[in-house]
Amino acid sequence: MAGPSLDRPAAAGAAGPARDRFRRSAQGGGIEWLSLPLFLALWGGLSLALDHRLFPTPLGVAIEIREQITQGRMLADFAITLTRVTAAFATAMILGAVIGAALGRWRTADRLFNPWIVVGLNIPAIVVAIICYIWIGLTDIALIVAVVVNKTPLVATTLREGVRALSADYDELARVYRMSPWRRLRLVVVPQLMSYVLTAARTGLSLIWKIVLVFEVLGSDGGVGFRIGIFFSFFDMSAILAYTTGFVAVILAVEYGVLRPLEKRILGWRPVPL
Amino acid sequence: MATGAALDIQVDRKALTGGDVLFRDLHLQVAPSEVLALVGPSGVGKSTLLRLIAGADRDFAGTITIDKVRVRDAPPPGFVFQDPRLLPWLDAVANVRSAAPDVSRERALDLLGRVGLEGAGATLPHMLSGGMARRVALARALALSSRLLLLDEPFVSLDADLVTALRRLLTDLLERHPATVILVSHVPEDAAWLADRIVVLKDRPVTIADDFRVETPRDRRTPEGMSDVVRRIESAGKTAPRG
Repeated sequence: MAGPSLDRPAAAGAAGPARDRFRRSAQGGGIEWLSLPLFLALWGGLSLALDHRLFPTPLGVAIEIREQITQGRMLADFAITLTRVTAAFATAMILGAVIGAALGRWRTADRLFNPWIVVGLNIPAIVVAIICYIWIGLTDIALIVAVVVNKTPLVATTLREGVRALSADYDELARVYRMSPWRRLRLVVVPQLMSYVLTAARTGLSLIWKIVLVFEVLGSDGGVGFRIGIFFSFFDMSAILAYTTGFVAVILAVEYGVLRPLEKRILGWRPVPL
Repeated sequence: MATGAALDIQVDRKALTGGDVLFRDLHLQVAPSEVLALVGPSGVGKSTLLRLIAGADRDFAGTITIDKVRVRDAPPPGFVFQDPRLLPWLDAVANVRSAAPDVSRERALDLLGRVGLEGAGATLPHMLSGGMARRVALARALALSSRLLLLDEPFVSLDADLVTALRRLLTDLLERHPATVILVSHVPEDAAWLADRIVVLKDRPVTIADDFRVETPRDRRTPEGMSDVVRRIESAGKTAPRG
């Protein structure tokens, strides 16, 4: 039987758990949570120094949030916007993943459709929104289509890179072991693509938040963007910041409540970088 | 006790991407449960031949059969790649099971135990040392219970202690798992220690420079006894064109 020399774990592995804990603590958790009170302190200090109705204090904004929830339409507006974001995000992710996989897999398709992707990536979002509103009308469908058209090329580009980067070695492994297509997809292909999917999801979501709000200002009858547009007409800075704060809270909840745990679960196998 | 597979390898022509002909009219037969070492300089085509036998590369003219069944229709062989090629997102036991969907978790753990990795089932590849990763790869190859085991430079890039330990492990496993084995190596000592039969390859298109049996049983081989075998391999490969 093998001698003891074979049982030596890798250097990284030997000190692994303790060092991983140290790295995780230095990189995440504690330090990260300090940024919120720091930001609030900065905001509070500035608003007190400026003492202006267009620069309300954090406390003033908190009171405004309560009023918007209890007496205004804040929750309904958020529900409308989140529904639009979710629909647009899911559609763009599925469509972009399929297109990206096809372009990464078939060179001819990539050559043929690459100019479309370039145009899709660079055409101004507002132009797409206006065209969709004119063609389809001022409806939710038009808004979602406009967001999907804007977002899909970004997902497709990211997934195309992922498919291009698939390891030929693992492909050979799958061939040698005669893995079925489903097994190959599940064990070999999808795990390699997951980091690209998560990147596309994160960058895509950040883009979608922004353009959905802009499109709501441009033409809709409800939602966060629509409401902020109205507040803008009245220069109601407290209400604008109340909605913005609520929106930021939702974004952070998605980041820390959904994306990070998902990332940890899916990409937890990766060694923690130095 | 089950015996290994019989191989009939007839490669009429195999060219590289640039058009350079690697094999022309190469014929080899491997007897059941034979441990055959393919030896030759790096780049001569040993690994390519192994990939043809494994069915990983089908772009050639000729016929390779395993127990008279064409490779594409034959059950998959156990294959140990030059690099361990473990799937980094799967732990050791899942890697072992990745080759054979029917293998239970208990059987995979048992195989890891047989290669000396008891208790390492939940370890991810990046936590394993080079030698441990090779042993997981070996357990994965054994998981198929295949009658054919293909080993592509299984000791490359390992330090001397690890090579000695792995050779000992393989010798032990070969006694208990009487499959037909094709071992590819550019190191004559690997072949001298493990093989029943040694085929020395050289030139391009590849020719067989020597083909001989090692009569001493594996468990009675000594460094002194193997030096003649090593000298014979080196002598046969002397006209090899490149390293």
